[in-house]
Amino acid sequence: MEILNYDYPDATAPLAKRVHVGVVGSGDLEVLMEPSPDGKAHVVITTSVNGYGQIWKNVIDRFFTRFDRAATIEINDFGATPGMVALRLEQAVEVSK
Amino acid sequence: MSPDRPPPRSACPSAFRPHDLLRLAAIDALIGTGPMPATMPGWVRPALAAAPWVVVRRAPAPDGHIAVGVRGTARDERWAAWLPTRAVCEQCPPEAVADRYDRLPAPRRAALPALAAVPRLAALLIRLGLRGGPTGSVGFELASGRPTATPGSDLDAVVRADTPLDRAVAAVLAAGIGALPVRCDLLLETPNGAVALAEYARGPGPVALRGPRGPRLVADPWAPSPYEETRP
Repeated sequence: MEILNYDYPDATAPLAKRVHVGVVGSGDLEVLMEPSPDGKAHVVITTSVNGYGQIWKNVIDRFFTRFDRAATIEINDFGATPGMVALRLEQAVEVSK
Repeated sequence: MSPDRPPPRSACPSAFRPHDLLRLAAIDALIGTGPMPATMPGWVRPALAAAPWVVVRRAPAPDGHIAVGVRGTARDERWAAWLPTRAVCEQCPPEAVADRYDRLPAPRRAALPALAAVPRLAALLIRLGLRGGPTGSVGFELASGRPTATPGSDLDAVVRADTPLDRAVAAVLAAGIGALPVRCDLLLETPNGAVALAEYARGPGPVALRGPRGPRLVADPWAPSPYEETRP
C-alpha cells in the first residue's frame, strides 16, 4: 500500500457540493471530493499497488489542467486500470456540477 | 507442438469467457502482448512450471487466440499474453472451481478466511438461483491446487448475469456477501462486460461497465452495446 499527497494551490474556485463516486473493490477506485477548508486543492491517494507514484502524479496534474475547484480529493485505489481511473475522475466532475 | 493438431476437448463446452481458468498444454504457446511487456518476464516460466494455469482476460485477441493473463507469486507479477485455443488442455470456469474445494487440504481451507468462505458463497448463489463462483487468488488456487490465496486475501467472485439481474435480487446478494466473514468483491458479468455488484445494488444510477475496449458509464449494463451495433 502506498499513500500519495499532491497540492494544487492554484485551484481556488469553490466546489458546489460533496461528491462520492466509485466502488471499493478489485480493479476499481472510489473518489471523494469535498470543499477544501483552506481554499486550495489537495489530493490524497491511497493505492493498493506500489510503484505508480509518477503515473498518478501525471494523471492528477493533467486532471487539474481542466479542473479548478478548491477540493479536498480522496482517492482510494484498488488496482484500477488507467481507463477506470479516468472514468471515475470524469464521473466525479460531472456529479460535482 | 504441431500447428495442425485439432483443438482439444475442453471440460466445458461453452466458449471461453473472462475469468475462466485454462490449463496450458505448452508454456511456449503463449504470445506476449501489450500494454504490459511483450517479452516473457523471467518469473513467468517458473510460475507456469509450478501451475500451468492462466486466466482469460477481458480483451480482444486475434482469431484462434484467447487473451489471457499469467499470475506470479507477487502482486505486481502479472503478464498479458495471447494463447492459441489449440494450446488449451483444460477449462475451469468460476462456476466449476468450488467443485474442487475438497481437493485442498482441510487445515489450509480452515486457516485462510477467503478459502473458508467459499462454501458459504456457493450456498448463497445456489439459494438465489445464480451461476458463478470465486475468481482471483481463491479461484486460481481451487483450479490449480497451487497455494495462491493468503491470510489477507479478499474473496473475488463473479456471477454470470446473461439476462438483467433484478435490483431486489442484487440487493439480497450484496447483503449476503456483506455478511461473509471476509471481504468479497463480486462482479456481474453481462453480455456487454462486467459491473460491480456493489455499484449496481445501490439502486438506479450510472454504473461503470468494464467492456473489452475499456470501462464506460452506462445506465443499463444489459442494454445492447453501441460498439456491437450493426446496420440493419
